[in-house]
Amino acid sequence: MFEIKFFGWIRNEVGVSKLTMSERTVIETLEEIIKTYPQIDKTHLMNSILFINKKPIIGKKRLTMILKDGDELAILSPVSGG
Amino acid sequence: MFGFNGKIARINLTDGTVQNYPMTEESYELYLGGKTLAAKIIYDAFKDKVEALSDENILVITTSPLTGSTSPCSSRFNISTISPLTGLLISSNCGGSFGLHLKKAGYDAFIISGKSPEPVVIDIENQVITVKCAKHLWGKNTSEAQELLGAKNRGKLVIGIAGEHLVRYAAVISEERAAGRGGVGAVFGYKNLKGIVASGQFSTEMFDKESFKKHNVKWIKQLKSHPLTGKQLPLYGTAGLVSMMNYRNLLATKNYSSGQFDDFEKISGETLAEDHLVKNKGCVTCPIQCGRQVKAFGKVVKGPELETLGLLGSNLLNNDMESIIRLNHLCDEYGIDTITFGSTIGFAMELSEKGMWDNGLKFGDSTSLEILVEKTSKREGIGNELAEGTKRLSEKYGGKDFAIHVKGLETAAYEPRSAQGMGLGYATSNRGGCHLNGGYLVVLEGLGLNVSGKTTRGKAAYTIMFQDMMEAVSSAGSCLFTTYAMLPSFLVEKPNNIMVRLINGAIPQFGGLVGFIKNKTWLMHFNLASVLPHPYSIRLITGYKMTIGRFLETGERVYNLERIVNIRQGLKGTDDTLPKRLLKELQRSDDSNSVVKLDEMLGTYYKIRGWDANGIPTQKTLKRLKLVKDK
Repeated sequence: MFEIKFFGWIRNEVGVSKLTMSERTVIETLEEIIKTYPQIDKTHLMNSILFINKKPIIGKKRLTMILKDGDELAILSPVSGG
Repeated sequence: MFGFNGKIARINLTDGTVQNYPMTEESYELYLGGKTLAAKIIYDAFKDKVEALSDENILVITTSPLTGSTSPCSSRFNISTISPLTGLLISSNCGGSFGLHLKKAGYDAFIISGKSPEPVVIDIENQVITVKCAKHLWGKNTSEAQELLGAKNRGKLVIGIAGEHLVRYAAVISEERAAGRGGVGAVFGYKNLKGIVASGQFSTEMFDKESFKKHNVKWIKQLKSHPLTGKQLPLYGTAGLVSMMNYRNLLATKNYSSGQFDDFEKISGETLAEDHLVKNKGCVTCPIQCGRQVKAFGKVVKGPELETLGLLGSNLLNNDMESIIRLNHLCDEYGIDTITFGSTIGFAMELSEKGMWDNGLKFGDSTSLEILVEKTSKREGIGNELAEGTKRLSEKYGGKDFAIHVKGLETAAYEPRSAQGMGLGYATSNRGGCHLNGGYLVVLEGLGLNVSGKTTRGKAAYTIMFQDMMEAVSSAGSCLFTTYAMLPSFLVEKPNNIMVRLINGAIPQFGGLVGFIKNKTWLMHFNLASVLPHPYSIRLITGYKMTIGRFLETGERVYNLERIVNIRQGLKGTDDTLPKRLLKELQRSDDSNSVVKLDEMLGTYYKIRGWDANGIPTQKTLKRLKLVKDK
């Protein structure tokens, strides 16, 4: 199992802070989240900022990356402040 | 005169006299208000270096053209003086409602000189200024002192016990907001000035009221619909940055030895919102409402901002949110800056860990911190040493390599080794280690946008542009957070889009162009209110021919003027640097680039600024900015 953590307004839309799932790709993970939490804005989730084990993953290739047991997928939205 | 009262008072606390301070309309147009107008007044006030804690030093409290209008986020005011912490010019900006009340009292600004023989408060009502005895307020904390000052519908600001004891980073508190940085509260304390109350019914004339109203509606709509100012900040406040900063290696941790804190989730904005938030609370005229009211230790109190969560949390390895909320509350009550206090404690903890100062402090142990707020504020025991700040501690105990300050001012919670532009901003900021005066380029480097924080390319030009813009926005009287809505929403919301990735990648490449047009502001003699609403607002309020170009030039003018004041105070180009930890120690052992490469940026920065190799503005630059006249 791997862990998914939500931060920022994505977390507010999903309504949970963490989930666990069994091994699958990033795109399969996002699709499963959309299926389980239909209230989430699909565009927001697909455009969110992703980190696997605290390393940023960007671009189209991020979607095919495989999440394995013990991994952490962090899903964040952009921020600013002061 | 539109947009201003056209009246500035000079109050001499030594003899209690009040005089009008002359200011030409030309100066109002060149310097606008806020910290920029204050810099002009301080520049003109002295010929030589001035000691911060001396009778000669002055406090300049200013409003701005947008103050008193209904512009969004425009109720702020500014306090400038010579800082007891840095010895340089400090400007400390504060929200709440005091700025609005001061403008309604019939003044644009006032200058406080001399030293009262006994504790006093200044009362300003409808252009009548009275200096009143405040012996009964001396020794009171900030909430009690404000309560004792009476009527709720007046603007108030006070110092706490820390200011009375000349703690070098004592703050001035107004309602629950703080003019925190640089020790303006200690200058109040030195002058025996406990606080100021202001109110009145004056209102300033507006040049084009109808167009202003229409423009304002659009501006507020823009702020409310933008993902950062309309969603993220209202939802989580500035505390909402903690998580992203941690993932981006930007969260100051263990006295800046790392950019990531294992327990960041316990001190995050999400945790604050889910476990403690009672309601949002913002300044007057603010549609963003980033302030927090939170419940903790059986009370409803002001929630901690990002800086406090970083400096009193991750930087001390303190993962206890309740403890941070309590410390934040105590710092406000005693009137001390949470950033410098947290950073100084972090440095003291590392000195203790390394056996360089036996002070009993330990990373991860928050049990003694609450009593330290009191001891520091009263200068008791080790608190007397902590009250001096990081730089002075390092001069006594050593550890200059890991004493995290710039020019004597402790840096904010942004760890710059993963954000080169932020590193350059800290190093060159006139205030010292200030993220906002430093330009806040980190907003592009992984927070709002996804421009690489590792590259130094183009960063000098962008840092200058952002520094000047922040300066101009501040002088207008607007909250700096309004600038975030300038970032196009699609760039913020779609970081994985191929076009957005290309733009993020291209931004550093355009640094040369940004640098090139900096000195050619005539190319920007137009307004684009949907992108940068501030200059158009100023134009509609004051009637001045304000454009984007002139607006940025105002910011540049004052960045140079502050620099000149600082040079007079003894600043040298070699002070534009960072602690060795940030320049030489790798932030991450697996990344040989994880240091601030200041050498790659500073020379270009000086060149684009029009400064010589020693960081001194050239005569040509000063003439272009109308800071010296042609002979």
